[in-house]
Parts: sequence; C-alpha cells; structure tokens
Amino acid sequence: MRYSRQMIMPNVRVNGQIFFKQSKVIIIGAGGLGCPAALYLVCAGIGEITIVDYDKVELSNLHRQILHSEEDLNQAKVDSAYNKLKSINSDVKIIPIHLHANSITIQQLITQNKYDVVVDGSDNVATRYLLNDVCVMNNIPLVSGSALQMEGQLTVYHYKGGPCYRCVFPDPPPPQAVTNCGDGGVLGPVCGTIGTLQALETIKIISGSAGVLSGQLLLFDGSSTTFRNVKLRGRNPKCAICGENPTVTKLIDYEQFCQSSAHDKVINIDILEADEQVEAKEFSKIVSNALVLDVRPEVEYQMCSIPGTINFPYSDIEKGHRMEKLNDLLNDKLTEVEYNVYVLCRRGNDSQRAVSCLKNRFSHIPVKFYNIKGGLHAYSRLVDPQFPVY
Amino acid sequence: MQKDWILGDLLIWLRDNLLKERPELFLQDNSVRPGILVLVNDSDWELMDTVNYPIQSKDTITFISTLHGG
Ligand SMILES: [Zn+2]
Repeated sequence: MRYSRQMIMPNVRVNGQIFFKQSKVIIIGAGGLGCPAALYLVCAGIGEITIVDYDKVELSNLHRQILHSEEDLNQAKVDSAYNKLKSINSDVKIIPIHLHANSITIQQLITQNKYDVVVDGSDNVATRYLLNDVCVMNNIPLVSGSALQMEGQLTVYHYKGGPCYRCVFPDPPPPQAVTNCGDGGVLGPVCGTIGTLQALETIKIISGSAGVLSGQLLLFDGSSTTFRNVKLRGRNPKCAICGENPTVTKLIDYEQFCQSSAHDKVINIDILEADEQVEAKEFSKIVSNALVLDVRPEVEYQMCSIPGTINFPYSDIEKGHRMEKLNDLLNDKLTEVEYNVYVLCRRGNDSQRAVSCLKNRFSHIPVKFYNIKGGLHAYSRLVDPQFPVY
Repeated sequence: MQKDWILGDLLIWLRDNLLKERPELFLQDNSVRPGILVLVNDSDWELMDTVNYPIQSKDTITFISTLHGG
C-alpha cells in the first residue's frame, strides 16, 4: 500500500519496486542537496541508503538542509539525517557514516559495498573529482548536482558509455574562480530543486528507465525559473580516467590536484606582522572613538554591523575604487601624530588583505592600519555574544 | 560582417572589449579557462571543433561556469 501510487505507474510496476528494495545507494554530503535527495529516495523505498558527511549541524544550514532541525544543532549531520529518515520510512536500511570523504575512506566504502548509484551532494571541487574517479574505476553511475545562489546544475556521469566529469572538465578550475555557498550564498529551494532531481535520476537509473540525464547538463536558473537542457560532448577516448589508456589508474591526492581543500570551509590566512594586529578584546575598548573600516560587502554590512563603523568593501579597496573618498575620510581625521585606523571583516581574512593594500596606498600620510584579529566572528565570541555570527 | 569569425576570434574580442578585470579568469592559452563550458546553440562546443567553429548568423554562444556548491 505504501508504494501503491508509484507502483501503478508503468515506469515502476511491481518489478520496479522490487528493484528499489534490492538497491544500494550512497549519498555523499548530508547538506542542501543530500537532504532532499535522501528524503525522496527513502520515501521511494530504496533498500539501503548510506549517507556520508563529516560536518555538524549549524544554524546557518537550516534554511536549506531540510532534514536538520533546531534540536539537532551541533549533532553530526548524518545522525540527524538518520533520525529523520528512519521516522519517515523504517523499512529502509539507512547507514550514517560520520567521516570525511577522501581517497582512502571513499575507496574503502565503494570497494567493500556494491552500490548501484553514487549521489554527489558535496560542496567542493576536490570531492567532485574524487567521486568521479572512484565511480569510473568501480563502474558506478554518478548523479552529480550542484547549486550556488540562484542557480543549479545537474547531470549523470559515467552512465552507459556517456562522458565522465573529467571528459567534460579535464582540468580543475583555478581556485580563485570557485565560489562556495558560505561566501556566495544559496537559496534553499534552489538546492531543493536540484537535490530532488538527483533523487529522480537515481530512481530512473535503478529502474532502468530511458531518459537518464547522461551526456546532457541541466541548467536551472531560479531567478527566472527556467530550465535549460544542453548537450554535452560524448565520452572522450583520451580521457585521463575513462579513456582507452587512462593515465589515472589509482586515486590521487585531490586537494593537491585542485589546489583547494575538500570542504567548503574558509582557510584562515596570516599575512601581517604582529604589530599590525589587535585582538578583538583590545579593539572593543577603543571602538567607540576610533575610525573603523568594515570591509565586508555592503549586503553583509546591512545585515549586521557595529555602530559607528564605516562600510568600505574590500572589493573596492582591492581594485582601487573610490579611493578619493577614502582619502577624504582619512584626511578629515588626520592629526599631528600618527593616526590609527582599524580594519574589520567577517572572519579576519579580507581585513588582513585590506590592511596590506591600504598601507601601501596611503604610505604618504601619517596613518597606521590595524587588522582586527578574527574579525566579527572573534568579536562575537570574545566580546559581544549577542553579535550575530553568520 | 566583414570576415568570417571563428569562436576563437570571439574569445579574444570578448577579452579585449568586454572584460575589465582579471581576464585570466576567463581565458587561458587562447581558450577558456578550465571550469567554463562554451555552448553553441545549447550544445557543447567540443561537438563543433571548439575555437575553430565558424560562427553563423543567429548563433547563440553561451559561457557557463561550473558550480560546485551544495
Ligand atoms: Zn572520462
């Protein structure tokens, strides 16, 4: 009865439902894509679903990672997902695996189990290449989805002679061209659309349906609610992994290959001297009568800011835009003695970059720029816990 | 049009006329940088000889940047 509405469809029937029950799917990432994908696959009655994720649930996840709720904060995402999914369909064997997907862990998982489909709900380039390579080596179709801001993309790699990720994208993008959801943002329903479609493609692959999205890329634009289906190149006989003479014959170090890390966390930089920095605590004592430049983007400044600070985005400083305005601002405040200017951002990275730009640009006037260590995150942690962290 | 344009010409023209900052995030070695997919009328340019494709009147050329977030 539970599955009757899908079983009466000619695309499924009794046989299809039996296939579902006998199938094993692994989902990498219990985030914005993995949550909706897992939800629909569990509802459909897939026999066994393994979910891999290393992260814990954070408040900023909840707008899109729909399996997690307020009481799950700080819990492992896979455990939170497990509890929700189990309560929805106790027939499905759900295996939560709390670990970081890297060459060693994924290789083990995939070779020790016979998965029918791998669902890529990861959030970074390195993991995408890793999953592609492991899928090709073990001959498993890869249902790949991604989302950022208002846009999403979907395709199936290495399916029935179709291209793999490396056939289409032989080389990884330069790291500075990659934006993650933490920096660029993403809308929940955009992730939800793509994650849901990943479940659909998975179901189609398992039931042997025609029309699997292989050799094609679906482009979803949430801002105009349009879908575009474009034709991709076929499998490349010279592909480094799925070609006739593959040059990649075992899993490599994907973080090194992509020159970026296999998570979407920000890596903190440390480019200034100690005497160019102040601690958040120290800063809090002087903030009321100091000149403070908050170098975050305007939309983030509008969301929350420390009163009295001035918004001057790093993107302008980096490009040298509106420098006359900054010059005026500084000249207004100038005194006989060296004047201190404090530079603040979200995490204390862009503010360091801003300080190193600004000290060169304004070396001709008696002003000294200080970075506020750890930015607003540190300020919230060490000074004012009421200040929102995002 | 005075001369036949191939896609490679368009890339150079775009770089010289439209891209104001960081052209290396668009072009590398006279082709698009890794992670950008070029489409001619909704088909991968790889199916059309990439930079050598002679652009026809009314063709739609699209540049897609791959997404990696989730
Ligand atoms: Zn390939």
